[in-house]
Amino acid sequence: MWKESREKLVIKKRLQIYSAVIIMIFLALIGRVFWLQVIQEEIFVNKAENQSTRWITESAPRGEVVDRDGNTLITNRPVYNLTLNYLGLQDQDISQVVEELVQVLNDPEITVEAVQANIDSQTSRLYEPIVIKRDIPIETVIQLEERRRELPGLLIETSTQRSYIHGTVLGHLLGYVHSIKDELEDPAYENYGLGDLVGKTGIEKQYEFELKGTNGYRQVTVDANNHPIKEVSSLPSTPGCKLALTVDLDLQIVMENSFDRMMAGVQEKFPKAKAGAAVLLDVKTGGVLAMVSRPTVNPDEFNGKSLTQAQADYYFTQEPAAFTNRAIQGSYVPGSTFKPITGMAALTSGLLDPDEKITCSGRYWFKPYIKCTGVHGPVNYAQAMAKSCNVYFQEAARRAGISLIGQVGEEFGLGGRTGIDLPFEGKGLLPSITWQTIEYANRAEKINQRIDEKLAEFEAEYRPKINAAADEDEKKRLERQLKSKINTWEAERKIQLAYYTTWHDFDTYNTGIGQGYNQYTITQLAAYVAALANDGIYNTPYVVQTIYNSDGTVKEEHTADSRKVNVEEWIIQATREAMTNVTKPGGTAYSVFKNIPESIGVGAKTGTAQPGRTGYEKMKDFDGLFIAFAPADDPQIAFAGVMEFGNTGSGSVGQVAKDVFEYYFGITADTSPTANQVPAATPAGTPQGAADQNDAAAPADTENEVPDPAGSEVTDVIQSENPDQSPDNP
Amino acid sequence: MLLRLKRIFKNLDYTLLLTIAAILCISFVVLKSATVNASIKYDTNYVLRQMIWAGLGFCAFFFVLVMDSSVFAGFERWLYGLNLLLLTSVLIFGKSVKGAQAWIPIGSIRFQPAELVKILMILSLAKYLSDRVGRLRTWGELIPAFLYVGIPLGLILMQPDLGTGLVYIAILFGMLVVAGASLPKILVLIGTGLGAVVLWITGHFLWGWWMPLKDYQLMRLVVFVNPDVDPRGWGWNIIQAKITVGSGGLWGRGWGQGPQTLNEFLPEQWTDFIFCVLGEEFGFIGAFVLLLLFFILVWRGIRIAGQAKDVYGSLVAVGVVSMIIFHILQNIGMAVGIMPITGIPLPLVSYGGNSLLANMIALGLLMNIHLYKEPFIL
Repeated sequence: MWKESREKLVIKKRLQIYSAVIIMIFLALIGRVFWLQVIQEEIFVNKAENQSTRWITESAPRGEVVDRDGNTLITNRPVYNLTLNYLGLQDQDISQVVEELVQVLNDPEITVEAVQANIDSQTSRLYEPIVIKRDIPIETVIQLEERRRELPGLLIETSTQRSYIHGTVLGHLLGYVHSIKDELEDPAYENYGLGDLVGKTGIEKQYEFELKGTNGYRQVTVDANNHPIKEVSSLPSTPGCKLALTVDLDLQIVMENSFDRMMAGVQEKFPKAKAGAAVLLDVKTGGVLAMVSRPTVNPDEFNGKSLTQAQADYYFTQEPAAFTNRAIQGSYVPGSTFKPITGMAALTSGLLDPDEKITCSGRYWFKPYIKCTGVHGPVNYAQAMAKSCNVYFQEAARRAGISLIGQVGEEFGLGGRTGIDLPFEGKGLLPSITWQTIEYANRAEKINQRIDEKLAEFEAEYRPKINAAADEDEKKRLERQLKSKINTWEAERKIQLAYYTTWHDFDTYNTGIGQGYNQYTITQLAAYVAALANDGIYNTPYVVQTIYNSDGTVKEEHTADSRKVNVEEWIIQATREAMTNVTKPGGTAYSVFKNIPESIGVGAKTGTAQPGRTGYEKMKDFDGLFIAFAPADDPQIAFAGVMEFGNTGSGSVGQVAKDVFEYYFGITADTSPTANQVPAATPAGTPQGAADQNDAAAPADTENEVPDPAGSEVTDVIQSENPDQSPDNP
Repeated sequence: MLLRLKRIFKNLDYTLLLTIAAILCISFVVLKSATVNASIKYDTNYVLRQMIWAGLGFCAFFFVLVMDSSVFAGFERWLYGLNLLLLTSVLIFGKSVKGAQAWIPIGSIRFQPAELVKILMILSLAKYLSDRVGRLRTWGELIPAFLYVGIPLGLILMQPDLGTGLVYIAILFGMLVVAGASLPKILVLIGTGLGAVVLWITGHFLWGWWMPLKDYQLMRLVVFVNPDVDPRGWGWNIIQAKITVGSGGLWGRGWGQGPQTLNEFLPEQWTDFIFCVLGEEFGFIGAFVLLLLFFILVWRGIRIAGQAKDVYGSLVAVGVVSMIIFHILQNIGMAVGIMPITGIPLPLVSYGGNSLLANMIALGLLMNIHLYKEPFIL
């Protein structure tokens, strides 16, 4: 009992210590809970709210694009995008996440370096999610969802992707979308954020703000896995506007197929023939019915993705690079397709009557005696047009003078942007007086600069020698030497200025037959032909007919932008008639439109041009051009086209005009697509082709004789007008 | 028999009984909102199940009162042997998912021996120490006591069930203190033990020392020191637990109104993180009430230990109190970020039949000691 009570004493004593420890434990817990819940409440309430509410941008579906009959050209399809939300990564080792991500994705395109570069390029706007990859397959989505905890900051968003359902058809005109980049610095894009897709070319770029729509927002509460639980508030998105184009998809496909067939045929004889363009306009409105550029572009290969090396080469590096829309960006020497302008200028001058006969003896009678395509004898306006007589049109050019030629050309919209609703349109070059003034001033400056430099060199060379001369004789001798050098170069200056900064008569002759400085885009040519066909009413070409609001109401209808060309009515009529002679027996395009009945009638003009650009061999390589309109009496459609290295107009791109016109007028006789062996039917060796080719021989002669210091520069200017639209890759 | 029942009911510690009932009521209320989503997702009525377990728990509680618990002292070796047998069988037949207590499937019920072995440990260790009260002053006396606990502890750590292992150690130290063991030596032991653990972990990370702990257990310790090492991974629970408790404020967000709870920012918040749900929805007031009830419970336990008829009873009571207090400290401490995360349930509050049943038996033992503190005329 004693032992028992002694033990009880020990236990009683120790229970006091024990109780003290327990009280301390409770106090610690209560104190800590008080600290968290009462003292620090606000901090944790904020944290809880921050992590459980999210603003989610509800991106508006981009507007669809349809053709004139409502056939869909561009639509959207749902996709999963993988984005990295930097906010979730604040204190985390990002590279670890990236590494793990790369490992999970196992995609050769997604490397640690690529993702890191992507992050680095957006350092100024890191609060916005970074798009790692668009359109990931569902298997990858599942794989990533399973490992979400290990990949903080990773979000899989559903969005829509552009669907260019017809592939390469109309590819250049439609354009494509890609991640916003330089546009962010443009105030017009202030409502855009990183990772947004914007139109980069074509309709997609031109009508970006219509197509975009307005993003909506949803404020949602999310659970621990960032899955939205419930919506707190929302502002619905407004889908982008729908665009209805003037393009006729069926006609477009006919033109595309025809162009490819023609090109394949031409290539058999002229392997360099790989690029070209064609435009078909509605004469009455200026609406683009079809537009082709070769080589093709497939917008879906861009579409927010990175190009493969092969694709990048194809679009940007290779010659001819496919990326350029040659219908609006390429500037081409028009060749004989310019002759109607020369003719109209001569008729306007009053110094040429359409019935007056000018005798062609095979060679023009003024220097440099440019050769004709043949010996035509006495020809009037209509005959000269039909035969494309160089002598006649050089004489016409001489009588009209370059000033008037320039004026008429400007009236028909040549040498300036047409204002078509497509981005990156080229300007071309019309050697008008205005252009000459600027160009010659530039040249004079260059010549003076070069010679001044030379003179300064001599000065620097001789002055010290003269100063250090041993005796007076030596000094005089040196001064004489210097003086003679200066005189020589001053004389050179005079010669050069006289030659290079003056308009020569032969410049006028060259211009008159569409060679020399002339360079125009195919769209310019088409618009000019359309204006000619439309009784002198020039319509600005356009692509978008109607813009529909998302609710289907019309937002905007195209308003015609037309003006009367300041050329007398009878001159336009005479020129149109002359051009119909081109497709009649004896005309250079007779064989092309054989299938089209007389009752419809086609006006046309062929052209063979020697561009004198790099890659073209003189006297061997020619661009083939073709302009046409129909029906002759009340024209509805106008065509212009070019086949680079096509050798002749009628033998190359003329065949495209034929197919398109025949389709348009419902003429099916022996034009079924398979039976149509276009190039074989009209090879370059046929009389028309040969005539056409000779057409170019003459100006080629002159090219040899006429130094053209600005020639290469012109090419440079034109090339620099090509947009630098390289997506991420190249 | 009737008389005996009458006496039992007359002499019950009603403060203790009502406190238990009150805590269980709180549990049901909190479980209801903690399982709002889960009950639908898994088609399980957690509250009802817990109520059934509570009912079974009370049955066990009263069953324990039938006879004087001091009889267990005579079965010390059997209890100890049963303990080892259970732990060995868990090692052989037990199933476990990462971090959770191992269980042995019996029919559709998952029997978790870890809950029962704590009680077996208390009952046998109490006998072992009661024979040595006042003599545990030398290392020679202390070391066998450690070995006595060390063998089952080793089996537990082999599972590995760190949580239950820590409970064992808490029970041992609690009972040693009350049994009159040398306080300086105990402090030295606790000090060197903690020091060794810190050194070992440091060595593991810096020099790759071998470590009996699994990586996930180590990560829990690492993120306890700095949860921002891995805020969405291992640090997630620590960070979210604090946010959940802290955002409750003084009055709480209201029952069923806590965004953290509703959106399940904490995994299986009806088990180990139940305190966070209480804290968020009922605020500091709710947390304080629960802690107060726990304090009353523990206080009654200490009182019973002081009034027990013999040393064995005192030590059993202290063992039970130590077990409960360590569960409370560990579980709530983890919720408020002062203890590392180990999967230990909050007694009587966390969802789970094994834990509830074991705690009710343990509390039954307390009540038993209270009842039989004076010899009955039976």
